[in-house]
Amino acid sequence: MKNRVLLFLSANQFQARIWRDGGLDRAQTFPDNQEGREQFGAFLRTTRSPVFLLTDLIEEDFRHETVLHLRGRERAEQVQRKFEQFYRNTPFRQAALHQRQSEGRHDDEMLFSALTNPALVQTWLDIMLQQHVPLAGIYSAPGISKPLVEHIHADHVLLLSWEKGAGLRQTYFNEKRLYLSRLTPVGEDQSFCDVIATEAVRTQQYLKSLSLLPLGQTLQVHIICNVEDRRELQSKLLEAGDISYAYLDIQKLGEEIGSKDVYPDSDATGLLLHLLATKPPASHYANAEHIHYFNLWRSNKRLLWLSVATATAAIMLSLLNLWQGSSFNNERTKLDHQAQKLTQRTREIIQAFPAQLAPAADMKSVVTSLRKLDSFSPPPEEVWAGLGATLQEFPRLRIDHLSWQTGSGRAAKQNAGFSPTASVIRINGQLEDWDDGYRNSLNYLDRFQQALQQRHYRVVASKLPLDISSSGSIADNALEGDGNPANFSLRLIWEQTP
Amino acid sequence: MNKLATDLHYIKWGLLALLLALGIGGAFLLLSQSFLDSAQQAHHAAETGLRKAQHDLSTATSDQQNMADYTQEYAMLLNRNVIGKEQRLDWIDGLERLRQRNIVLGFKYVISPQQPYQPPEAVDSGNFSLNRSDMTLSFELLHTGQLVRFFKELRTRVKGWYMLDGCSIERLDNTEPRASAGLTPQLRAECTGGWLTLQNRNAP
Repeated sequence: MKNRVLLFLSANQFQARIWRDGGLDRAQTFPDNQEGREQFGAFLRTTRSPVFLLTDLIEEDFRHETVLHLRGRERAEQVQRKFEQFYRNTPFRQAALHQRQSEGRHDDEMLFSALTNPALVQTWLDIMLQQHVPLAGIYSAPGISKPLVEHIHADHVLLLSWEKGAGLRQTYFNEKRLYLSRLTPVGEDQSFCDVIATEAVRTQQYLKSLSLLPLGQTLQVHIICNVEDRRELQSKLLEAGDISYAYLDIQKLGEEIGSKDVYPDSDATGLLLHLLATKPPASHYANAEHIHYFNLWRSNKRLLWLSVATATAAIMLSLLNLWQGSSFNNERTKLDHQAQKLTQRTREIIQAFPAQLAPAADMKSVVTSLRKLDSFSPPPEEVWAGLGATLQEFPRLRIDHLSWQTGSGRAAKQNAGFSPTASVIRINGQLEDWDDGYRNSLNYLDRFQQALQQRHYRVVASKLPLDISSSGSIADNALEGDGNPANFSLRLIWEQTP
Repeated sequence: MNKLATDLHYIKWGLLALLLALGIGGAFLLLSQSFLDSAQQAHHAAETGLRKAQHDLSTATSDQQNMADYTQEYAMLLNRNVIGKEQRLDWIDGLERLRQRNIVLGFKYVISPQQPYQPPEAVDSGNFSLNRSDMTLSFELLHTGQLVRFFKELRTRVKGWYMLDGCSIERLDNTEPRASAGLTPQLRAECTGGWLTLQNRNAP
């Protein structure tokens, strides 16, 4: 937010100032009469900046309460009950959590406060609501003063400030938490220096009576003033054992919070307004209805920012896409050029093929396809060579039936598990001289199978003279040789080596 | 409704700006994305084209190196009448010459009509269709060596290309009636296969 409209409401005056670029414009004062209200209405029509209303009124009440720790809807209902109990007659009320107790039931310590004379505010508020002014909040001088004591290392601090149109504001902070505040009018025949001496002591006694200031504890009084008033105060204020005075130079304080204004006297109104403009607290007296148009104003700003962000993101992404696309196009051009060169070279090679019996592609197709088909039908001498040599080494084996099938002889579905270059051989035969003993005979067959495997046949025994596997059955007459031949069947798979 | 209309009045510029940003930004994005997609596709196509060109060059270079072999083998296949229309008289003549050489004790054959041939695994035959005329052979043999020699002679001395699918050989008991006089056959064999020819699809 660049410009802000800051309104200051006290018992004696209502003024408006524009805050821009870290400084406050000249104040415009509106008397509390019909003319003043019309002038205020006209003023509001000249600006659409958000409005912050700062009140500095005697009729502001503070209550420190300890309540049961609750959350969500239950907490909201609890607070509402407290509002109805303490501040039924004003809509300008707030509840702030101080801290959660660390012992016992872990209750919450809360500060309830309210503007107890709502009519003072409502008059001006009605004008703002009528004109749909974006009111950001209704604040109070004590409520926004906390940043002024942040750097003070003391548990019990009484901050004194003077607002010309309001009076002497005394705000008590306990461990940096606002506890109470009071406003004392300063008469026209008085200076605020005159009032401080008595009022500070009164406040100290009041705090003691509320047991907020422990026995023996020193109350540090920090006074916002200029150099001249400081000299006067230093001569008037006497430090006692339990009260000490410190002086906060108003000009330095202003510089510390970033104010560009010059403070000619100790009037802290401008200081507080600058503080409100730069560090508005979250909690204030306005309710949802009061700040409705501010929420709309803020939503509109956010929508505008969102649209800027959206447009920027879309443009950036689009540029990225365009850049990537251009890179791809550049790369594509190079690839096309390379491919062209290769294709030209290929064409030259093909055209340079000598005159043939047929086009080179046809000759290649015929030769390569026949070479492949030839591999599916190897000649029998190749397939049987190993088998024949092995049979010669095992003369007790008599082959009764031999069949083999090449890859070309198998339909595609029969080739599952076999390479088309594999030949499958089935041999059925007999083992003679079984009465040599079944164990010796089985060993003989076993050695035959091993010999075939060494000659690169894969061997599967389909049937043996004696099935000694766990899934087979054995009859005792099979164990007797009687010179009868024992039958066997083997399946061999032979494959061409590349 | 009135309150809503009033509220909308205060955020109308923000909403409008957002709609514009979404609309115009979205349009830019769509157009640029479309440009990127086409460029990417074209790039991918160019990569594919380059790979194909590289492959074609590699193939052409390999063919250049192998062309002498291809020419020689093709000439041999032409000479054996494997390419073009099948020459059945060549097969019959060849088989009869084999019969006269008495490689086996006796044999018979049956040649079936020509059919298109589907090999057990796909073969790229280019412009040529594969055809086969199945032929079964029955033999009476003294020993398996005769069968081996028969098919060796069939390959080397008979014009054509015979693909042997397999045989079944059985030991005979000598009480069975025999086809040939003189020597007693010990084995009977049944063999299947076919005569393969390649026909150019573009030939008249």
